[in-house]
Amino acid sequence: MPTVDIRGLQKKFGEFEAVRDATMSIGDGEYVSIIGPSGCGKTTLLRMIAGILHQDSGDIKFDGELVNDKPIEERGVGYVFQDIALFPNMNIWENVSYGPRARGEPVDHIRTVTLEMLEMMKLSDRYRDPPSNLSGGMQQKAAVARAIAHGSKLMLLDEPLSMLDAKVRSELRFELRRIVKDLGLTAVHVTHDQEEAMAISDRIFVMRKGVLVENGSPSDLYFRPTHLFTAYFLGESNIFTGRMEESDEDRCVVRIGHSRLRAVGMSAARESKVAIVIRPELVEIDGSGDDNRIEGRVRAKYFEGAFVRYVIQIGDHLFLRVKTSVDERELGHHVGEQVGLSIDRDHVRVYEFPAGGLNKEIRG
Amino acid sequence: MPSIELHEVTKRFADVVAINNVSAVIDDGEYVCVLGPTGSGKSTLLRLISGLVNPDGGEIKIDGTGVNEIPPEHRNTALMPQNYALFPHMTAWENVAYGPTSRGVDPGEITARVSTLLKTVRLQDWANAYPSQLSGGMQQRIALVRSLASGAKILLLDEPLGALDARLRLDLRRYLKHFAKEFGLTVVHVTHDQSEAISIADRIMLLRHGRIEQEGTPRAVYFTPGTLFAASFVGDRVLMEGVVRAVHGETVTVEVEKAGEIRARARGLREGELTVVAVRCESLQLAHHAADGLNRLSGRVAEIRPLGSYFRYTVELHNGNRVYSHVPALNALGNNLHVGSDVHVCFATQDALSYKYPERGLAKEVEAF
Repeated sequence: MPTVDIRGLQKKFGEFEAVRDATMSIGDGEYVSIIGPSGCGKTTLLRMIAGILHQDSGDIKFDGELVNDKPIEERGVGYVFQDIALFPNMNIWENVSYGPRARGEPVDHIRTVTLEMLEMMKLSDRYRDPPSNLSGGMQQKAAVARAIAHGSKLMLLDEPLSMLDAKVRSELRFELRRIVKDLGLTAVHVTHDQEEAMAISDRIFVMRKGVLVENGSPSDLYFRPTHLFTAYFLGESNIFTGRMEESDEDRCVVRIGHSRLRAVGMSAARESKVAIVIRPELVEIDGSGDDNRIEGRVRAKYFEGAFVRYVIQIGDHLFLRVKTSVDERELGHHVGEQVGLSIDRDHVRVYEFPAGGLNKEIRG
Repeated sequence: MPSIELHEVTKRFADVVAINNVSAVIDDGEYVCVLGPTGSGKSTLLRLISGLVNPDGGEIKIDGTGVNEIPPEHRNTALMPQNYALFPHMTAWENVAYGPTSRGVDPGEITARVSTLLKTVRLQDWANAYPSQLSGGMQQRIALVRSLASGAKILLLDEPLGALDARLRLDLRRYLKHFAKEFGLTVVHVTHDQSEAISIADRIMLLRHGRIEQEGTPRAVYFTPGTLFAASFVGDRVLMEGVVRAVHGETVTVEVEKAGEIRARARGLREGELTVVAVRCESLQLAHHAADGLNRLSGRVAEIRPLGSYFRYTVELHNGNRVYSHVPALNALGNNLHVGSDVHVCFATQDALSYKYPERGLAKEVEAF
């Protein structure tokens, strides 16, 4: 029943501050992911939780007990790496049963545990194969099975799906979540893939330049991000520079170019510079909402499978990306067409303009 | 006019037939994505075109001329390998100038070429920076123009976005296409990511076991996959097993065990045959009350996952099977469905494609992992 509590964790590599003052609490049975761009410190943080790296300062507790001075093998964690790390000279059965065998557990127990894991991973008919006979996805599942069979209740996963084909990756993420939930494990999963994080976790921590920026459920972070960086990094966003016209706790009106938009509440001085975020899939073409109704012209159109993406020009200088679903028969709007857009005010989010400028804030 | 033709090309490595009797034409200025799972032969195909490996049979032509005997450096192709590495001790400028310099191109010509290329990728201000000072996306752009510095008009890209962050990958997709069109390049782009192929390609070639499984525009491949494998590999689809109960010209009636009858588009099936019906997850609509004229299966919402632009609803049907419906975020935010809600899963006949049941079994046929 592992809970994880981290307080004020710091790690420097030379002058470089890889992790700064990281504090997080993870509940028993929770599936948490840490996302952020390359080099943000997420893997370093995970390695400190595992005990592979030692922090410069700060505390790590499992189930309320301090584990700062415990080496990895005494922390009882299962660690799954980006590169699949099965023993190549052992078959799948031997790999999965490795932990219990090394601990000298009774033969019956080893058999039961291993068989259970293999069945859960749908690998029971491949138990005699060497890893090299299995596809990448199967190998990574065997690696997860081995980590779980080891008996650990806390799974630490470092980009476990990133080496796999896109198709395999998108199916395995749901399977991974199911297994962790079925077994009541606690999981911390590091990834740079925001869709993977949305799919797999109960809660997401967003990390940037060594700092945990914010955390919340996938829904909260996606639809109501507190930080501009989260709005940029999680999913896709139109981000505009604008001015505050009327401001109130509950609602405000902002101006982008010559367009006025009703938006969610945000306090800022009149005429102050603000950043405005609109998700492309939350804009309706020919919609009925009357919070914001805007006219525009289709400038570009891209087919992307489940979605069509439009670039819509509003006034002289404003370009809005809009994502909408289509099917085979309904081919949508054509380039050059005049369209009416509607945007719910809840989907126009306003942020204080970042001191260092937009680009620096979101791309670093 | 840089076009590429393959005539019955075969390549073996020991016992493995990596490319099996492939014929294809890639037109001047076309952007083709070669899509397929790991081991389908897509990188081998690229290496055959570039000349890094030679075919065991068949002929490859570039601009109408046979190139089987021509070494890579004289083929007018530029290959950007999957693990491209910039020279870390050279600046961006030196990296791009490296190829033409080592080939003894006139220095004045090199200066002109390199500065044009750096401008094209908007990195002229970074000419003196070393790779370690550039972001991943910038390095990618330098690698791209470095491979073009020799003047080649055929660009061969092996998983060009594979090493990048998911976020950056999306941004660079459109950039690649734009770049290729602006330069008038013919591009062959290898990827395992179907959504990448759909967003970028003029035409997709789906490869499987060294053969072309299907080719066509992204729209054609996406909406009307020719085989069950193509249907399972391109797009997210629910697969349902059933028995053909009646054939009516272009459509069939299929009985799905303990779930009722559905209508689907026919693909040369006979009455009594086993079939697999594939429906795109975003064509499965969830409703309290089913609309007329649509197929309908009944079940209960088992899970709801918000995935950003859409929500994934897992519905457990009364027959125990699970289907997944992708609902656009705007609809999902207001549809009043919860875990435990009873729902109808509805879809049009047009959106259901029936395929012959595969001889080796469904799981093996569509095995992704």
